[in-house]
Formats: sequence, C-alpha cells, structure tokens
Amino acid sequence: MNTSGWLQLAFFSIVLLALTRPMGLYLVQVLDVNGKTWLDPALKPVERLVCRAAGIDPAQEQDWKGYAVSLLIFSLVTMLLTYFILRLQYFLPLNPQGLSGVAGDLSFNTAASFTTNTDWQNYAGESTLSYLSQMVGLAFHNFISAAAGIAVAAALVRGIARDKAATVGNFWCDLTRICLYLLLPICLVFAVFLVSQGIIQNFSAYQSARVVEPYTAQVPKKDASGNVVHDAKGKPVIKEIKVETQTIPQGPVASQVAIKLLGTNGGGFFNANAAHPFENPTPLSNFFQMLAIFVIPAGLTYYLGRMVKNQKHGWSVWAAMFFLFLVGVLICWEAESHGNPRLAALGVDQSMGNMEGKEVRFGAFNSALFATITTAASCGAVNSMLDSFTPLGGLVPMFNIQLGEVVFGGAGAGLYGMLVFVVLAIFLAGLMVGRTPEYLGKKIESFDIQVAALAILVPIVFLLGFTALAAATPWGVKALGNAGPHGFSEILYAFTSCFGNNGSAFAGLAGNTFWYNLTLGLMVLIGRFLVIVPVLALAGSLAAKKTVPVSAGSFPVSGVTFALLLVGTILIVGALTFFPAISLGPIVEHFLMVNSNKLF
Amino acid sequence: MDLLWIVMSVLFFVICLAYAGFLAKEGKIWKT
Repeated sequence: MNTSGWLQLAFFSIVLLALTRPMGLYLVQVLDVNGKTWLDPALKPVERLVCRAAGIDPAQEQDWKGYAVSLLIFSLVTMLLTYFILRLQYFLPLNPQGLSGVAGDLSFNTAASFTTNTDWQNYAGESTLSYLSQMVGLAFHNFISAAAGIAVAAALVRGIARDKAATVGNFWCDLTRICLYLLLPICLVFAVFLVSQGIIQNFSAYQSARVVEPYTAQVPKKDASGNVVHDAKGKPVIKEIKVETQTIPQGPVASQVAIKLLGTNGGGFFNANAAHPFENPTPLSNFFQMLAIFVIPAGLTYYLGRMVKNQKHGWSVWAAMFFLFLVGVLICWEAESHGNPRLAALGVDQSMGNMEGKEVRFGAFNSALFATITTAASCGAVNSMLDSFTPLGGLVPMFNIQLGEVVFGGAGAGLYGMLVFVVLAIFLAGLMVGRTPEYLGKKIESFDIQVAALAILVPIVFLLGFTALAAATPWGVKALGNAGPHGFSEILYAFTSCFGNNGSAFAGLAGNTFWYNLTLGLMVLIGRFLVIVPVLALAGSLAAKKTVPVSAGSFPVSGVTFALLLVGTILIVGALTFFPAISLGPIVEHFLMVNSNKLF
Repeated sequence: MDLLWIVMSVLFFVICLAYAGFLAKEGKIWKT
C-alpha cells in the first residue's frame, strides 16, 4: 500500500463525489416525462418519433403490474432476438472472419446473460462472435438492459415519493428517454475519448503478424468440442505448441467498451476484457472506465434524495455505499500488495505485490481498485484475472456480489437493491424499538416485508442450490481448472456472479458446457427477474399508501446512525447467508496458504 | 435443440408473469 495508491484512491473518491450531484440532477430531468435537458432541441423530435412509431403515449402511466408485464415481455422478445442472431450469424453480414453460428446452449446462455445486464461470457468474443453479433446482438442489450434497470429504480423511487398513487410510471417512455438522453449521448462522447486513448473502432478483418521472438508454449489439449481433455487422474492433458505468428483481432471496440462500463454491463469485446490493450490502453482510460462504472449508480442516490424531498437521505445511502466500497478496496489492496508468501519463499520477487494475472501497467493497486469497483457495481469488466488474486483478495469481489450488488451496484439495480435493504433495515429498527416501521412517511406493512424478503432470499436459494449441485456432480467438477478450495471458489464465484448479474469470472472454470450453460443461464434470469418482480410490487404497494407527515416519532432515515444501521443490515444478511460457503472456499484457502505449503 | 432453449426461455418469463400475478393477489389480500 503506497502513497501513489492512496492519492489515486482519494482522487477517484473526490471526482466521484463531485459528479454525484450533477448526474443526479440530470437524472431527475431524464426520468421525468416532462423534464427539460439541454439536449431537447436535438433529441425531443427523435423521442416524439420513437413514441409515435411505437404507439407510446407518454401521458399514460402504468400501475406496477403493467410496468412489470411490459418489462418482462420486452426482455423476452429481445432475448429471443439475440438468440437467433447468434445462431444465424454465419448467414448474416459483418462477419469477415466467417465465424460459424454459435451453439444452441451457448446462445441461450449468452442471450440470457446480456438481456439481464450480466454479460457472463462462456466464450472468447474475438474467436466466436461476428461484428454484427457483437453490435446488434450484444451492445444493443448493453443499452436496453441498463435502461431497464434504471427504469425499475425510477419506478421504485416514484412509489416511495408518491402519495396514494395507482401508477409508477410508463416503462416504454422511461426506456426511450434513458437510452436517448442518458446512455447514447454519454457513450458517444466517451467512445470518442476512448478512441483518442488508442482503443480501436473499425470493421477490418483480423491481422496476422510474426512475433519478434518465437517461443514454445504449453497449453491444455482440447477435444473437437473445445473442451479441455483430462487424464485418468482428472488433470488437464498438456501439449506443446510453437508460436511464430500472432493474430491481432480488430473490430468496433470503442463503442462497445463505452456502454459496457457506463451501463455496468461488463461484457468484453475481447476475452481478456479491460486487460486487453485494445480495450483499456492507458492509465487515463483505466481511470475513466472505473469512473464510468460508478457515475450513474452514484447519481441515482442524489436522484432518490431529490425525488423524496430529503436530500440527506440520498446522501446517507451514498455514504453507506461508499463505506462498503472503501472497506472492500482496502482489504483487497492490502491482500494483493502483500503478495503470495509461498511464492516469496520460493524466491519470487513480491515487492510489487501479487502480480500473477495482472497487467504490469496497472499494478496491484489499480487491479484491486478496478476489481472492487467492477464487482461492487454489478459491472463485471476486469483489468486483471480474479482467479489469480490471493484468497482474501479474491474474496472481496465475491463478497461484494454476494451482498446483493448494492455497493453503488448496477445501473438502477444497485439503487433498487439498496432500497429493499433500506425497507428491511427500517423494519428491523422498528422491531427493536417497538415502533411501527415507517419509511419517509409510508408505513411498512406485512406485504412490503414479504416482497422485500422474497427479492433478497429467492435468488439466494437458487445460487446456493446450483453451487451445491455443481460441486457434487461430475459435470460441475470436470470443468474446474483448480482443485481443492480454490476449485470450489471457482464454482461459487460463477453462480455468485450470475446471481448478482455481474458477469465477471474466476477464469479457471471452463463454463462452456451444456450443464453450465443451462444452469448459469437460468441463474442470470432468476437473479434479475425474480428480484425485479417483487421490487415492482413493492413500488406499487408504497405508491398506494398515504404519506403521513414526518414527526418526532418518525424513524430518521439520514445521518450516521441510519447509514450504520443500513450497512449493518447488509453485512449481517450477507454474512449469515454466505459465511458457510465462503469458509469452504477462499477462507480455508487463505489459511492453507499461510500455514502450510499448499497452493491451489 | 433450438426448440428446447426457446421453450425454456418462454416458460421462464411465463413463470415471472405468474409470479407477478401471485404477488398482486397477495397484495390485495394483505390490504383487506
């Protein structure tokens, strides 16, 4: 932990804090059908045209059921569209490499993953997907899935802010305005900036170049289906290959990178994601990519405060999120900067920290910071390989996701997830002091707690169930790249990542198998929609309630006490739910690393 | 096999719609 790292962390935090208010104020206008933005002269005619063509009446609002049905049907249709694009990409244009159609199970997994803002990738983009698949099949989802998440958050905030209302907004109108006024303009500017930093944006065929120093590499042998071949002991069969030439992939990268970060999607154009020099070439691009991940989720907390006319509440939620983020960064950075004691004992220099799986240009600090941000915010882009982190360093990203992606969280998903915890925290506080729970003048009743509990618990049941199933079956274990607790961590991380719609991976798991494509595909759908449905039910329930004036007896929802209560509730739920599982993975691996010679 | 994935996708969203219907019904019960 060095001075440079501390200064960068402080600078990042200050810039994030400074951007929260302007982004929040802009969101207030974007998420209001009558809102005014400085882009109106250019975009208002486009919005009107889209609404007229799609038959959207912005004045006609929906109740929570109508909102939910619109979102679900829209998601299903766009998911099937992506499925067919992937399956038929060989026959479609913009495929200069002549890549064949994607297999059915992988297409299902990928379509589900991008529909849900997860971007879990059981493939390498450069060797599997055409440019059309990347742009129309996937980048399109990066926009609309982020917009859908923000729309749900806005619906919940409206539910809290409104008094005896039957409606929570118009999904189609919200979706259109978020894409038009928020995501597209920022992405346009951001993509141009990324091009200035060296990220490519073209439709050229891949280039071939001779490497300066040919070398021999040892790689796992794969069968015709692309699966790693194992020997009788279950270890991967290794073969040697001589490498003399290198394929340099091309493509429309900058445009996809911009939205993958701003929309907290995370799906890389290349397999190495933000560690690839064409996706993240400079320290400046790295800084702005991290900032882009957090800026909308942070701004949404200000939007919350403004909408409920209690700005201190918005800042308290921001502070709770920032506290959890800061603790995560410091633990991860500390673990990575100390390096691996077993490698140090072998004489490997650990003065720069644990550099396995990290880019030298980013180092231990920027790798730890990026990993914490990307997993706190449901993004999933990575600039280092999480599988190579120390056990405790890898625990932080995993636990971030397991907390429910509420540490700033995904675009929209972070705020609505956090507000579910707010309702739960207020309910627990009410139980402790013997008062009727009340949130900003709305009484929290049985149904509200029911749906809040369902939103938190139902996906967790599937996450732990699928993890147990995979850990106990041959198909689950066969895909592992490592044995022991680290192998278990790979399985747990995969389902955790899909549960939280994060999409980052402990890369040791070869997930492109029928069963993993099926179970992880189902997990991303469950993690997204079985949360959104009860959240919208909560929005509808709160909207219908009468708002009573805040009095001396009302529970305070701002200040240090409230922020600590919120943090405590999140940590207790996360710890009680996941401590047994993470004990079997990263925690036992840490003790084995420190107290024995075992490495996994 | 395509049919399997398509049916599974549609089925999942039908379950979600039914879930929303169930919660709507539960909400009315609790309100009364």
